Amino acid sequence: MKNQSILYIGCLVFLSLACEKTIPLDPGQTPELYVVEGLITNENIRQQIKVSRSQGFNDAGVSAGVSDAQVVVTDDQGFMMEFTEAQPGVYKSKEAFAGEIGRTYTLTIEHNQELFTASEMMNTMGTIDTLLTQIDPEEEADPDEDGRFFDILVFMTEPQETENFYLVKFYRNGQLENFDGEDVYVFDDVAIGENLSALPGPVYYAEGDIAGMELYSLSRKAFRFYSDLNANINNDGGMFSSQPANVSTNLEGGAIGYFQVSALDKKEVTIQ
Amino acid sequence: MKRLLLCTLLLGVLGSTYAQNKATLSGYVRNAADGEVLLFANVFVQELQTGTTTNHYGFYSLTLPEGKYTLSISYLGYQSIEKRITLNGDTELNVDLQEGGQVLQEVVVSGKAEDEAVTEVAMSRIDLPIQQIKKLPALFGEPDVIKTIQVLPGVTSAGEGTSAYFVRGGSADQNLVLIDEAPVYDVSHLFGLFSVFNSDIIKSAELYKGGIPAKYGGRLSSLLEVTTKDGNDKKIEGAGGIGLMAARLSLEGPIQKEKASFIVSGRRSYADLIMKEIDDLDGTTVSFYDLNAKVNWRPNNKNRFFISAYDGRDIWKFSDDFKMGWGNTTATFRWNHLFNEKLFSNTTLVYSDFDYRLEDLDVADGFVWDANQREMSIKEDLTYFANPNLTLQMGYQGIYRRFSPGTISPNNEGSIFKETQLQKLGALDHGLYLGAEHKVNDRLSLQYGVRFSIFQNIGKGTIYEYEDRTDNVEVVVKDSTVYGSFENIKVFSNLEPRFNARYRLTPSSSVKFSYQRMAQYIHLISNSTVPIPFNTWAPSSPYLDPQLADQVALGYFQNFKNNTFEFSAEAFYKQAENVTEFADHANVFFNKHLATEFRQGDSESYGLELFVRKVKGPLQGFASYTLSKAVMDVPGINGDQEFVANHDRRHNLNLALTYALSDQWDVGTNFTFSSGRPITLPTGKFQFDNYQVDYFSGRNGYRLPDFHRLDLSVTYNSRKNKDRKFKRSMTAGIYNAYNRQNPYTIYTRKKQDDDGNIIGDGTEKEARLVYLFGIMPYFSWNFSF
Repeated sequence: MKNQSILYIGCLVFLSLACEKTIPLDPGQTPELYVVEGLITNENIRQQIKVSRSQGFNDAGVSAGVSDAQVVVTDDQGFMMEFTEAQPGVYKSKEAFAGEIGRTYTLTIEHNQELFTASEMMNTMGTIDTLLTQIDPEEEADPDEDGRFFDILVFMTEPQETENFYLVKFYRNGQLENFDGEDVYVFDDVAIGENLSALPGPVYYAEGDIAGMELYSLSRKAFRFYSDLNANINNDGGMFSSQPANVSTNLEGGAIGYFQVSALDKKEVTIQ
Repeated sequence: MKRLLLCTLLLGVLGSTYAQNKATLSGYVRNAADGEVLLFANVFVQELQTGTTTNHYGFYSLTLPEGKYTLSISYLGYQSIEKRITLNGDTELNVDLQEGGQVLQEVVVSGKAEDEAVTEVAMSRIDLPIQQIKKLPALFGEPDVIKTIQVLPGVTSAGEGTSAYFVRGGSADQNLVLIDEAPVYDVSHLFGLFSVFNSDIIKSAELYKGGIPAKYGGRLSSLLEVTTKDGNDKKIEGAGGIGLMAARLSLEGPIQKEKASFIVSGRRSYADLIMKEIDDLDGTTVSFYDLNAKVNWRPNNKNRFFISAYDGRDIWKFSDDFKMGWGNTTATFRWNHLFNEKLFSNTTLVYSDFDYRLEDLDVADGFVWDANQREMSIKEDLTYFANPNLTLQMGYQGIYRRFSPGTISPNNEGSIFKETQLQKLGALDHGLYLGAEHKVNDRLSLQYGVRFSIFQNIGKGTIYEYEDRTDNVEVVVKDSTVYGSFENIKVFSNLEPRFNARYRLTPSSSVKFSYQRMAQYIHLISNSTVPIPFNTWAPSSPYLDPQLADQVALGYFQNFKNNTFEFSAEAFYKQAENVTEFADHANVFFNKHLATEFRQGDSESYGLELFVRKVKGPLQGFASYTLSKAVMDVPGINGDQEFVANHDRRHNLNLALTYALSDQWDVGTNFTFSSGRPITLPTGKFQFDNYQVDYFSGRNGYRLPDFHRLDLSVTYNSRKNKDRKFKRSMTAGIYNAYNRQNPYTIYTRKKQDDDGNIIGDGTEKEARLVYLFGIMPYFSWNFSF
């Protein structure tokens, strides 16, 4: 979790000497690829798989969904669930179901004679014990946004006997907060102890806000995907960070994106 | 090849044994003013029209038939002297040369014989003019040998403000940097804005791009040998100065007159002293320092000792909640011993340490992260001056290395972190070499040798066996083997032949050829274009093969106008295998299974380097042009397709000139032009959650715009300096005189305004060109006494 931020500090300091400007980029012909964004959790809900296409670098607008695909999820114990198109490109399971830790789920997507598959096991997980809130005095003195100077403090238990990877999502009044799609909160447990206490979250809240946190378990592969994603959207052109490169995927058949299978734990707290 | 080499060597030795009534003339050549030994000074026997040069320790030895001779001893920037001697029996002759002999003697361009460029056998070797570097324009007015190296022919950099350099298509980790024979692993201060070399302490700096003697090994592409001053053994002297970023002070003098001397030199940035006083910075400070010290002792002419040490660090603090630092510490003990007039020995003990530390001072996620690597080595070099036409060199170097790639510890009770350590790695490195400098006749001279290198990757350690070693995503460990302390994990060895030839066409022109094979057993763990100080090194191991490179070069050398101009043209071709690269998005920090991130492949580079240098008169300096190409082919990268190397530049043009207007005024200028750096830019994008993710079609498919820049400087030496002991000078300059916005890098982001607010619905992206330094004036004040 720390690696990226450390690099960042170095680069930022260096680049503070710099000036920059927007330049046109003409990438020429762009290959159109299928993009899959799938998520199965252990919550008993209608699970969702999105299928879309990649765009040109200069394109604006949300990419069009891929309609009329056959979407099926099975598991290693004979379970099978069909998905139906709820909106263009957005497929929901016909019925609500909850994934189970330790089971391996396989996604199959068929569209225009193309076949994409992905398999993923639901990894074990830590737990969010509690969320507390406190005023950040520095932020209170000079808040970025009026009234927003409350931190949430996360208390978590991390099982030491298993190899775990986590993705965290933060919410403010139900709204996903990741700095407009610039931050990815992903970490492994390599150097993490059993009890995480009073770890401040990245988002500031105002009094009365409802702060939410979701903790997703990831496979090693999914951890890699989100780490790659973070490096991809925050690359500095390869001067001090790794060479810009594509994000890894677990999809076979030529699609990109990820079929994520996660145990989920979530907590909310009202700021007061 | 090998057998032939040995035969030639043996013949040479035997030849010398049969010669009759010969005597050996030997000694040191020194600067009369301060006793500094002069490297590569010319000792010429007029009657025989033959001669030699002093070696790296200022020592020479000539074995001649007994008789009477006229010797002329010369060194550029010094008054040549002639000595008549009668040689009947082995004779010791130390020569002290007076500085001067030319107008504006302080503009010493380089320490060497006047026509050395043409006559020396070595090619692809440049000695850096330290005195001139001080008069050339420099970033923030801080003269820097690394920045000068970056503009030499055959050398490229990743951009301004960086201290990494790339030699003849090689990677940044393929350069061996030595300070008084001790390796320096990270030469950067402030992420490369400056290098660790304080110009006040440097006596000479030489860069070998090829034709590297058998004595040296361990890196594929180049050798930079920095030698520090010995210290004045006659009188106390000092020098210092203050520039925009740092202040310097050095002091040297005799401990025992003409027997022992010392020099200490320090440099420190002072921005932190000012930053501390600024409340808004909340305690954020940045600083660095360098400390060099050396003691020389010459009890007699048979023995010479020195101890040299260097310590330098960067210390960064971010508003009391984050700290980081890195630095090198080196120490060298050297003993030069003359067994007899013909056998010169150099025994060296070296210690080198590089380490970095990151420290988060927050309570909840507080941690200390330490990493370091240490090495200790012993080196024995013997030089045997068989006869004026044959000098033999042989030796051994043994290195013990310990790599500690990382330890994370919590720094308070409430921290989420637990004590975690990556396993340490060890190695023993051996090099045995035999080489000869062989004057075949007046026209043809050869330098040949072979280095036998052995590398032991040793325990203790655990080596994992992987289901698929290159699967860095789903790492599946099949098995593991535990090795005990000093137990061999894997042993590698290589024969590295080296060969240089010079054929003199006319007294002022020659052609040269060189071939070298180099082996490199340690690898920099970095996947960025410019290495950062938080990169560690790893030894060759079961999953990391030694890198090997073969290089041939052909050159034409000519001096014009009584050695006023030196011209050279060199063409090279270099091929390397097992060049170390990393998988896309490799995790090179704190990765237990780093082995799954290694990708090794081939690199190929070739080019033409033109170089002209003016070394005499009021106008001095050089111009160079390089046309080159560097490509890499690494399985697992860029879809297994060949790609241009990060440091590939088609054209590179550089000009560095100083002009002495009068005794008081010097002006200097740099101009540099190079093709843009290759860069990887997206061809498309896709949406995932609310992230806009770049999609790439290949590596290094684009180029940044061309880079060019002009710098100017002026140095004023106080008029009163002549009569004063305390001499002063001032330098002022302009970096990037015509304010060119030189491209540094390009990155992409969601389309946003200048305040960082997203424009539109957050689905649009934009490319941002970053450029570093606009026009920047600077000023520095220097003194000496």
